[in-house]
Amino acid sequence: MKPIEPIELSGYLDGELEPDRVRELEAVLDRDPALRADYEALANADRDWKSAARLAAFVPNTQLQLSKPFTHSPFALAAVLALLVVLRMTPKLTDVFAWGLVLHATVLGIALHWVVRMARED
Amino acid sequence: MGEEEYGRLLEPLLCQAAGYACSILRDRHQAQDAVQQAALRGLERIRTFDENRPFKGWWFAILRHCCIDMLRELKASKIVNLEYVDPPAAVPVDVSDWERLSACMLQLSADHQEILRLKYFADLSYRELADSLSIPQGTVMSRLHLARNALAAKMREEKR
Repeated sequence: MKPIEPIELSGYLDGELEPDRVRELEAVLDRDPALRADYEALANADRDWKSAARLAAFVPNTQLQLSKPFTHSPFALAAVLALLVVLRMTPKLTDVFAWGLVLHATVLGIALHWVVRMARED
Repeated sequence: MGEEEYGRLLEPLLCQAAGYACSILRDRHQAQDAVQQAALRGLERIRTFDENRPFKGWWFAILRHCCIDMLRELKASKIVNLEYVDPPAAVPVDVSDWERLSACMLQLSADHQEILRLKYFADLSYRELADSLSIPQGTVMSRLHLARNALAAKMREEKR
């Protein structure tokens, strides 16, 4: 067995040693009062420092500016519906005029959507 | 990792983060600012986060840098309390347990201070400590043990 190094007492205390090494160290602790005393002093100090450090914790007022998922505003939907109604009611429109209407309604819908979204974020 | 996942992972760390920042900055308002800054900085860098790394270690490294930046700014603006410039000769009597602990840590070397603050105020595991301090995991145990001995000696000195 590899001799126990003092630094391994910290690893043992923190539960960071391999299970085989834990068994070896515990066997040495059982028969070596000096090492046992060192370990107990370390464990007592560790307990005191942990409870002291916990007193510093508090709930901070932290805000994350997460981007909101894309949602359709009622204005955008209304613009699209209005477009469909206009197209339905004016069957004799030329293709160019109709596509121009589609383009303007889309731009209007997007603009309204962003206006509503920015107003909500404020 | 997405922003919502980031928020979900960050939320349980915030109390400890505030305590950790407080132990460095010794002021609740500044600690809160540092945590807020780190939360936003982490959010900006979320796309560079390697998911094989421990999130807590990664994020506390960001917070540590935010605290260091704030200390530098405080020193530059001369608002800083003198104890940030030179370690105090003795720990004041009328302080709480954590302030006494923090003040004793302040008298140790920078390496020992860093690892002890991350261990006790942030409760990082060895893997997280290694990641946060950019040192091998094997070094964590030895550095932490030496730091604990140094702190115990300092605490004994203070009691005398």
